[in-house]
This record gives sequence, C-alpha cells and structure tokens, in this order.
Amino acid sequence: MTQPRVSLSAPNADEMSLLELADRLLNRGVVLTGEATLSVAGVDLIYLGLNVVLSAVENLRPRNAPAAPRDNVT
Amino acid sequence: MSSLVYVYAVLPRALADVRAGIGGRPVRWVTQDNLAAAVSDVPAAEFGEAPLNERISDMGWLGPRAVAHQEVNAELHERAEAMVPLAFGTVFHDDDRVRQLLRDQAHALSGRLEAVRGCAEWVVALHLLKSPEVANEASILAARTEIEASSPGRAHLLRQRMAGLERDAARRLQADASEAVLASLRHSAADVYTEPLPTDTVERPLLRASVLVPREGESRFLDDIERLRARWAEPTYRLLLTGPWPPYRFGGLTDDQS
Repeated sequence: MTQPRVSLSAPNADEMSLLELADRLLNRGVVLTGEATLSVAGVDLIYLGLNVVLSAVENLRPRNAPAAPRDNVT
Repeated sequence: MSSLVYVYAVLPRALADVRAGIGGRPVRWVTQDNLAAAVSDVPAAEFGEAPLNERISDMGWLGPRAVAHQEVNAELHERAEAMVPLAFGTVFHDDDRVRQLLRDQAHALSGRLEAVRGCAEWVVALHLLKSPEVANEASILAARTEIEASSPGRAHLLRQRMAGLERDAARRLQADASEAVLASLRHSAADVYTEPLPTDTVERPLLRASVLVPREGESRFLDDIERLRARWAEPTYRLLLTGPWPPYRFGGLTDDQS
C-alpha cells in the first residue's frame, strides 16, 4: 500500500508528518460541506462544525515552530 | 458499550479484505444502489459529537486515529479506480443513516467519484527562505543611476527612499515566483486548488496549492516539479511537495469551489 511519500527534515519529523496528515484530514476537504451537511444534519449525522475543525488544526501547530518544514519527496 | 459508524470513504463498489480501521476494528461496507461506504464501528464515548470535539486537538489522541483513517483510505485509493475519501470524524449513528447519505447524496457523490477517477492529490507549497536579491532589478538600477547623477542633497533624499524601493521590488519578485509556480501547476495538473494561507504561523508560504494529477501522468508531473524546484531554488525559495494522497480536497470540493 502506498503512503504519501513524505520525508521530513525537521527534527520533530513525526509531529510535522502528523500535522500534514491533520491538515489533509481535518481541513476544508470535507465531502459533506455546505448544503449537504445541513440536509444530513437533520437526520442525526454527528458532524464536526467546520470552525471547530479548523481551529483544531491551528491549535495543533506547535506555537514556536515554523508551520511548514515538511519537506518533500522526490 | 454503544458504538457509532465511522465512514472512511465512498466508492462505486465494495472491496474485499481491506485492512483494519480505527482501533483495529474491521472495515465493512454499507451499500446503496451504485455506491458503497467503507465504515467501521467506533465507541460513542470517543466519537460522539462532544467527546470528539474535545479530543480532536489532542495530538496524542488524534495521531493514531488519523493514521488509521489515512491507512484505510490509502489502501482503498491504491486498489480502486475511484474513491471519495471523507474527512476525519465523519460519524453516523447507524448503518441506516449511512445508507440515507448514499441515497440523498447519490448524484453529488457519483459526480465527485468521476471527477477524481484515476487521480491522486498532491500538495505543493512555495516558501520564501530569504528576501530575493533585488540589486539587479530595473527599478533599483535606475534609482542608483539617478543617485550617482544627483547633487549631494538630492542623492541623500533618494537614498532614503531606497529601502522602500527594495521592499517593493522584493515583493514583486515574490509575487512573480508564486504566479509562475501556479501557472506551471495549472499546466501540468488536471486541477488546481489554491489553499488559503495560514495567517498566524511563523513561516508563511507564498503559495500553497492542492493539485489533482492522473496516476498515469505522475512521473511527468514529478519531472515538472523538479524543474520548478530548480528554477525557484534555495537559498531564496523552497518548494515542498507531499503526496500522492487520496483526493481529500478534490473529492470534497463542491462545484462552485473548484
């Protein structure tokens, strides 16, 4: 199975990799956005408010570390 | 203990023998007409709305679960021609609710499956490591020439304006770099989505984009990235790439966003 080919140069490599992952999984790429969420919410979908999700991602970022030393791949 | 149904992704049909999901629970399928949702059972005590929102910013809790989410979706993405991965934390009360989603959103989900068929998602970021060299920019050269030709008093005034000119020139070069990278991505990818830039982080990228790339065109895309990296090189710029991801961003975009 293929994992995203992320190699990291940052000292806290695992953390940055998790940040990248969280950014993909929690960020705005939600299939149930907008109208879909509303209509589904009416039938008891437990759904994270988008604002909650976004602030969660922001809070995950270590305060004093750069947000982006996830390095690349090829 | 009561459980909820966690949805990983929606596919056109079920796959056999998928690896275990969150908490080691088996991945099973909820199907409706021409759609199949990959799901597993999760404890309500952790994935109910309130506990989930409480725990989601705790990296120690989120980490292994996000990894399990991604590992399931990576396998589905590897094995299926088309799949729409859902965001972390998409939870339903029971299978009937999932079926209802598949029924209610059948049209949208089918459209999204087609839009990402045979494609993977990559994330490209262009960072500025130090201010670009502006000494040879036309505006700076012209200003220097003018200073040399001016009286001492006027030259002094002009020199005071130099810092502003240099800042403007650097800003222009950065904007040019970001636009050039974006234009190249638009040329080599099936679709490009420019991500909003984080505002409260130490290192702010000049550009961050999700790009959708057909799997069969992957090596050409990576060649293009290498060329971009050579052009927008360190020590001034740094081009970062991660992928291939399941199409989290493009699977979730609505028509008016893409």
